[in-house]
Amino acid sequence: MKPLIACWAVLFVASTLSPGQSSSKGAELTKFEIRALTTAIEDEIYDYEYEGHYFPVGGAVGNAVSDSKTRVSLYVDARLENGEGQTIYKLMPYGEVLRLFHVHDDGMVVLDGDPELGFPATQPNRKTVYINDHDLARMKRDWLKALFEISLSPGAQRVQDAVRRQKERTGFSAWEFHRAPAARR
Amino acid sequence: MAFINGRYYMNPAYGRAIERARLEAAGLDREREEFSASRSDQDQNQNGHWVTINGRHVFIQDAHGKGPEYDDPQNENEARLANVVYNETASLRANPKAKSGAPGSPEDLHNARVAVARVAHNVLQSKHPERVQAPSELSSRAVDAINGGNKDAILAHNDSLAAARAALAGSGLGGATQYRINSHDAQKNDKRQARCGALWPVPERTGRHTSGDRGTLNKKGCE
Repeated sequence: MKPLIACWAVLFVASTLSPGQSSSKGAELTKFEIRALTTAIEDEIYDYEYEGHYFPVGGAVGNAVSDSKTRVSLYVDARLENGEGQTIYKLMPYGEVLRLFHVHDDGMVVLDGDPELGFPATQPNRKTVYINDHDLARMKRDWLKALFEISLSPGAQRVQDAVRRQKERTGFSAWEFHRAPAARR
Repeated sequence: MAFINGRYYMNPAYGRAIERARLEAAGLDREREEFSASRSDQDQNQNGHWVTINGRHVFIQDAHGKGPEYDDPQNENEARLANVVYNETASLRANPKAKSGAPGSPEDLHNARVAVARVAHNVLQSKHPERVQAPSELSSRAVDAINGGNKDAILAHNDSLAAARAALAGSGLGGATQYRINSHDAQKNDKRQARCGALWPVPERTGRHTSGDRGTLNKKGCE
């Protein structure tokens, strides 16, 4: 229970700047931007239909809230440089990844990189297994901690919201590409 | 020679017909729908051309005849190598303020792509072709962008293909089999270089950075 309270405390004691105010060079991440980041992560997972990978037969990834819902830890570098930040989280089925993200002036957060590339060691967005152990431990110790929540069976509206926001963020929706080819023509 | 759904055909029209029949026979409704739709698109609008992306023969519409044209790979080796280079470097942009040939310039970006292509080719040709690098097939997002006529995506793929051809025709960069593209990398002391993306092909045996094929690149949005 204590870790959970600590995570939420981080969110609530974070700066109360309005969206976009922290996007300048060397700024601190706000609670609004952390919330936008968790939304972007959840949206991408639902858009790529990765949610099932968070519920392997052996037990859920993260802290299971129920048989079909789990909370997953997120580590975020509090510093933004030119609107760019870094985060570490478990993105199944790839595993734990270091991911860059961009905070736009309107507060929207856009994750960098393309999940389908598999986060190889050559890319800035890479699996954390490719990061030096000492550096990884330092990042997890020093960065802000938060949670995002994944449902095994997201509602149709939740998925459509994710699809819509993904298209706003990147101009592309994997769900639409694979499931609704007629809609993208 | 056209590369359609993973097969080569001397005659593209014949290939498309064969592949369409094969898909229908296999009952692959979704692929058939996409294939039929692509054909339908072509029938409705002749301002475009067929290209092969990841074994899929797709129709690319030219925006009223403007926009860059997609350069079609001529064989599977070119296609796979170009895809690796594209996947590794598509997010990089040349700095419009950089002088010709200077770090960050389009020439510099192309040279870096050639370096990536050479290393990727070495890996693909090595005894361990399963070594992890970016995949040799395009992602859904890349296919969607190129198919949709996205200028940046098409130019990046064309340059990646040119780099792949140069690498296939040239030397193997001294057997190098490693490189890394950095951006905002906390592990690097050189913040400017790390943030703006330095591309370092590294010879496998020595672990030293090569001097001849090092490109300093600007990642998108980084000047």
